[in-house]
Amino acid sequence: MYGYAGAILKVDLKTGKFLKEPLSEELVKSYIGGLGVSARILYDILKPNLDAFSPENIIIFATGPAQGTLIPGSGRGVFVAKSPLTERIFNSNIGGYLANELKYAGYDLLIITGKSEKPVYLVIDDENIEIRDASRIWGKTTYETQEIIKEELGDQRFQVACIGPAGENLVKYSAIVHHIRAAGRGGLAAVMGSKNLKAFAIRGTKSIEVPNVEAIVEFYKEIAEKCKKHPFLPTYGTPALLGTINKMGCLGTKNWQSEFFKGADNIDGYTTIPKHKLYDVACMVCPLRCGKVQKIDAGKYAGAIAKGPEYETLYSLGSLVCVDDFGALVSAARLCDEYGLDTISTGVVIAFAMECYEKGILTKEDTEGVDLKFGDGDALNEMVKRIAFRKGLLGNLLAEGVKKASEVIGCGSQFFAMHFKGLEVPGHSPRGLKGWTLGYSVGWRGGSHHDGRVHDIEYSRTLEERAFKVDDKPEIVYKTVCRVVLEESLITCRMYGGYYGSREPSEAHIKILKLTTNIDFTLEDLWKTARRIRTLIRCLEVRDGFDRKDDINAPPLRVLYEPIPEGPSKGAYTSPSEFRFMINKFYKLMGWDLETGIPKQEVLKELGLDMPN
Amino acid sequence: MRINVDLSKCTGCGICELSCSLKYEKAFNLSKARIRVEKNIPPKMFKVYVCHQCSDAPCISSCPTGALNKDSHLDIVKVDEDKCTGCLVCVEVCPYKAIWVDHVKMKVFKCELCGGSPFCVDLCPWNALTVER
Repeated sequence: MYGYAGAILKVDLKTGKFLKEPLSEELVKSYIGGLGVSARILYDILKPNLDAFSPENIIIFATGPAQGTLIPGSGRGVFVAKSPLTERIFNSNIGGYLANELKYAGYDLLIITGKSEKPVYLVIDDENIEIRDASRIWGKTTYETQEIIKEELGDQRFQVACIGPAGENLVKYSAIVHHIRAAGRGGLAAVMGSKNLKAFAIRGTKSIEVPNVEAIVEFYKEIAEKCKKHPFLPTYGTPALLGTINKMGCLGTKNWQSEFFKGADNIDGYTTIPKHKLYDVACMVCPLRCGKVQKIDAGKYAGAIAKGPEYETLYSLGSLVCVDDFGALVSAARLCDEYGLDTISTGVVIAFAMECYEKGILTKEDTEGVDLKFGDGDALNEMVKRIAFRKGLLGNLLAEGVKKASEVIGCGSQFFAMHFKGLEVPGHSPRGLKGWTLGYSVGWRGGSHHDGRVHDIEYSRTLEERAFKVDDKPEIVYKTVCRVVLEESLITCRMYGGYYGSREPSEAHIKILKLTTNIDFTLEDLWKTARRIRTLIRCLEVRDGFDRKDDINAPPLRVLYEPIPEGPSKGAYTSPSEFRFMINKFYKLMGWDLETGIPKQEVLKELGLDMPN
Repeated sequence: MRINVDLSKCTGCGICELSCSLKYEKAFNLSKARIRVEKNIPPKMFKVYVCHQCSDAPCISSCPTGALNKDSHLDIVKVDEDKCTGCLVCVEVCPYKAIWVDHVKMKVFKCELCGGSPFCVDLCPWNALTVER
């Protein structure tokens, strides 16, 4: 099969046995790869209602047909497992050089089951599979771990994915780290931690073939030329978004008490990149090079180095906690990367605790001496450490995520616990961009800025359109959901929306499929495949007991009842009636029952999903 | 003539490796590339391995069978596969670690600049690679 390695590698950590199985052509024709194929496999083999830390939980690292080829923006792979944070099926995407290496080793998917008795790491060296002792590296940071493993295996060409102390300590939002990239969201590192799997390393010497060499080169050249002309990503990366979004009055600030951050200029990419950038980094096959390595030269945090911090981190560890000391922010981001923590969830959890402290719900006794005030960069760094090591009562509680923390702290704090379905809100406003209230609520992951992805369209619209109208939002969410599940299956990077289509399944997606697999998809096939993948994920949600009640209860109350108090988007919020209108219309578009949110039988039949449960 | 690498412009994207394997293998295979990128973790910079086409090349002087020679016209070090016995002395002596082995054929391979217009230089998106004549 063109574009695929053609095999799945299954590893059981309990028995230490492994199995290589062919990747079926039928499976890829219906689900393409990546998230689609993983969802299908999990539907068939994952037990419903399973605890995420059960040894029976399965963690998949999946690639699609684009990985390992010359398709720009294909340097991505996806981890799929039951999340300990949301208790739902979860996918977390990672860049770097990992996904292509798995295919060069001869596998499209890596499926890990069982639990090892002792800390181990897995080595995949073409067909040589080995489970090695990791007792020497247990406790090490993510960067140390990668270096030690490469050293131990004696070849820098091994690509390593690992967990840090946070994953070992089962922090519910710990991140899997490879190179300087992270599969940040959903706590899938804790799933690895629960299996005593510290890392896996891959090296491959096999070929990936495509049907038409000249055509893929021509496609690469065309997209690369466009990438180089991108107005800000190659030069400033995603940090350039911060000031722009702040000027629109949509930047989550002070735990979303505001959406305008006065200190934004101090942390915006246009300010920091010229001063602090060391060099640019790209994932495999990416002419966009959006990664910027920045270093702090002076002050208390001199020496701190981080990739980015990306827009999402500037929001979560910056505006959301009101920290405009760039050194403190970079340091906190670096700690998250080293300990293996999701920067988004970490920032939202700390911002929540800061608001509790501000309101007197938490006292200095509760924080065990930390003066947990908004704007305090030292307190921010201290809390990151406490969370990663579950230090103290508060550190241990916050490590469970904001949903659990607010349930335990109580006293009405749930009003401002900023999560959807247990996943902390990223840096795209569900009030200033009203479509996001729907997008997060009907996303299978909840507070992920990828499932609904309305902002690719909404940021360029007028204030009136994005913040005060809801008419066309359900359709925008429906179309972008279909786009996103395809991209997570192909797999292509979301930064390529400008070239591959940011609204819906596109001719570019068809072309990528043709160039890599030689399979002809019509636009109609593509839409159907996208709907099939999303609906199958919905079936997995339903099987675990999640349905309309969870969607309709998803938004934080602050989003539904507290208008933005100041700034350019002042007055914007999503009223309950608007929210209900959007959900109902979205269900209609998806063919889900209005009362239950469960996919209708005729839709399941049309999509070939009318299988026995 | 040789490929010049400006590491300050290298983003580690690996497009040079892919273009090279595509040109010679008609497929994507990093282990067949004649130019390789070590994707070091920042702040360690990326490292690019490619033949420097040395004027006094140790690979040529140490090859026991005379399989490595300088093309007098373009000044490129070339491998004569018929003469290569796979002894790997050249791999050992190369100061730039820029000669690799095809373990199936048991012959070495290295950058020969695509006969004068290297494909990797053509595809490198940010001009980290240039041809020095």
